[in-house]
Amino acid sequence: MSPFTKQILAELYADDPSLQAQEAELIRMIETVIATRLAAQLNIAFRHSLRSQILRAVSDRAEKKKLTNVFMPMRIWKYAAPAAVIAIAVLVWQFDVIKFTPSGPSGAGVTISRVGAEAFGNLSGGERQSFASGQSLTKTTALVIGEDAVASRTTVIDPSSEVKRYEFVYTNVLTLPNLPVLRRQSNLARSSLTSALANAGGLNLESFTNLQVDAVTLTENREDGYSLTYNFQEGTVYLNRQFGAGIETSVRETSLLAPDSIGQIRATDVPSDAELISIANSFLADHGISRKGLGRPVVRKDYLFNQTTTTGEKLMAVEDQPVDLYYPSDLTVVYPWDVNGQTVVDESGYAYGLNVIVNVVTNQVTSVSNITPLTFQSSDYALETDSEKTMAVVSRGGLYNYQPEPAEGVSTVQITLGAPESGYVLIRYQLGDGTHDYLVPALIFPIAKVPAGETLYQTAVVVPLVKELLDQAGGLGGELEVKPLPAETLPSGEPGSGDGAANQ
Amino acid sequence: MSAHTYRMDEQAIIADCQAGRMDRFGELYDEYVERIYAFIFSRTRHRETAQDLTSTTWLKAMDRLPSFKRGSFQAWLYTIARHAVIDYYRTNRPAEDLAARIDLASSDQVEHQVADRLSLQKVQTWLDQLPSDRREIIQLRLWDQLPFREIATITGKSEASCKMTFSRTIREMRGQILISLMTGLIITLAYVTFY
Repeated sequence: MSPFTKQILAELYADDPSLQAQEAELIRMIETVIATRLAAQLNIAFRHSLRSQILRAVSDRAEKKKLTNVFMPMRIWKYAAPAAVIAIAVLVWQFDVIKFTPSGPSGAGVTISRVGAEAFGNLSGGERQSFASGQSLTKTTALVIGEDAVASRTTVIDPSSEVKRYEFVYTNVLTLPNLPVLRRQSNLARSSLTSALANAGGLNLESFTNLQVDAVTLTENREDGYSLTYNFQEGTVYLNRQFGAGIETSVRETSLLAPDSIGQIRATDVPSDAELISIANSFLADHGISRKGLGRPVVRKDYLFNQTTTTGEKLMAVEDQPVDLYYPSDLTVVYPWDVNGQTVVDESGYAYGLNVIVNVVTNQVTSVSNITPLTFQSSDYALETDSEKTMAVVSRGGLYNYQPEPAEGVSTVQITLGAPESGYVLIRYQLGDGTHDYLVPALIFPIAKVPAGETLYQTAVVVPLVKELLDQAGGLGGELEVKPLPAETLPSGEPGSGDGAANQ
Repeated sequence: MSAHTYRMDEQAIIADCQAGRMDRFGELYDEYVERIYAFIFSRTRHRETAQDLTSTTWLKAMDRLPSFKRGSFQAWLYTIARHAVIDYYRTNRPAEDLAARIDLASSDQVEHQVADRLSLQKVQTWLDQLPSDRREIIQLRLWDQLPFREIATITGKSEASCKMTFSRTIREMRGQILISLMTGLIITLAYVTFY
């Protein structure tokens, strides 16, 4: 009997325990229904073709967006040139194109202005979205074990499937830092740019209410040139290479289409980290993109997570046959923000900052994202001072992690953590007026030792230290109860509420 | 824990896409394309149609990703795929029930033993006769192995209602199928005896 069938039985018995008397019959019936599904083998050529079609569509859409962002909606082509000149002048004035050289009390490249205590309101309340998880912080946060079981803290998991309890161990004494919370300011002012366009095209823009520029795209007028998109809503600049007809087809196809799918890129094709960082450094220097306020660059390696164990052994595709390692055509060099002398990570522990994407086939930069002035407001919040409470979060691997309780059928895997660094974790809130980025003081524990053969999908344990966030975690994450028989009901939750499906 | 954490990374990819790094959309495609194709193929039973609808699903997903806010990306994607299938049948085969296209005799499935084939046919007949909303919940749970929370999102029903429908339908099925399966076994015995 498969684990999935066991899970289905557990669900049925939860509803009607008398069904257990007909278990053999139910198993056959369930497995027969499953067998009625037609086996589907996705044609590999179709898969590649569709992937390339989508990537082309992505590229085409970016092209179209460039045209429509500012000028197309207003049908002002013949007036566009002078408006563009003014607009670019304003951009240059505002951003020194993309060379940000802010100065401030906290060090080169970073500006921090102080505001009153708890000036950003309740950090744990409201409709918010964590950057890494994207999950709203409600008490219905769920755990997925394997591909089958979905459970919350009050749900009982079928223990016959493989259930592991990960115990993150750090034995030394904690030193809790005392840092303020920072809020990034999206201070790419757009009012001047809006004014610059006010009379272009003969339209009376004053007749529109609260008209503002959301985004502007500048594009190099050459084959395979770059485009720069100024996103005023987020206060960031995004730089992206526009592949056109001029690039060699073979190069384009190799670099954009095929390798991701069919694994043509081999380990020997991938430049070393030092080479990738050198390419990224040169690009930033050539284009005057400041590295002030940014720490030492690192190359992201999370593409290996589904392919190797944490200790580096290849996972098995089938028995005794290791996977062929897949290398993406584009690798990311991250220049982490260095704010107040503290490194910044996302909630999964990855370095967070300026991203430079390098194509490993062409050794050229294809995009740079998250170019932004490092300007923050600083506000004091009550931080957790109770080491024991903090360690309780550490031991389960993070604020919103679930771990099953020790029980029969639950194996415990001990993960040894290294000495923590203090730093900031980026928490992104999606509010009605857009995206808000907060840097919350945190302890970042590196994963020091993982038992052989284990795959762990995180490189660090990140514990935000703002007290209200830790207090709230009492109702999130935590331990799962595992019993032989399922609980009576699952929590109803709010299916579909706010889901993307509702957006269709 | 691992799957949970993986999904956290998925949301980071979505956030990147929404921030303009649509080049990362390919990673979502790689993760889900097989499952979406299998979902569509099992409901259309026609390779080219399934490929067309898979294309439609992904292009729509790409267009709509900026408006994806939160929740399960998988459920969101399956919802788009489901609508693509529904639209296809509305446009192309208005009078034909979706499940009626299933024809085990001409399917691509591996040939089954006689007894298994009979069982499959009985169960398939039972599935075909179910009201479409109940059949869909059975298929989403047993074929696609989706959790009830996501099934609720996809079908627009409550999670509790989906669970109840599933449980009730399986209970009813048990009684009806039992007789059919017994009949099948007798026929199999007769088949083996005489041939």
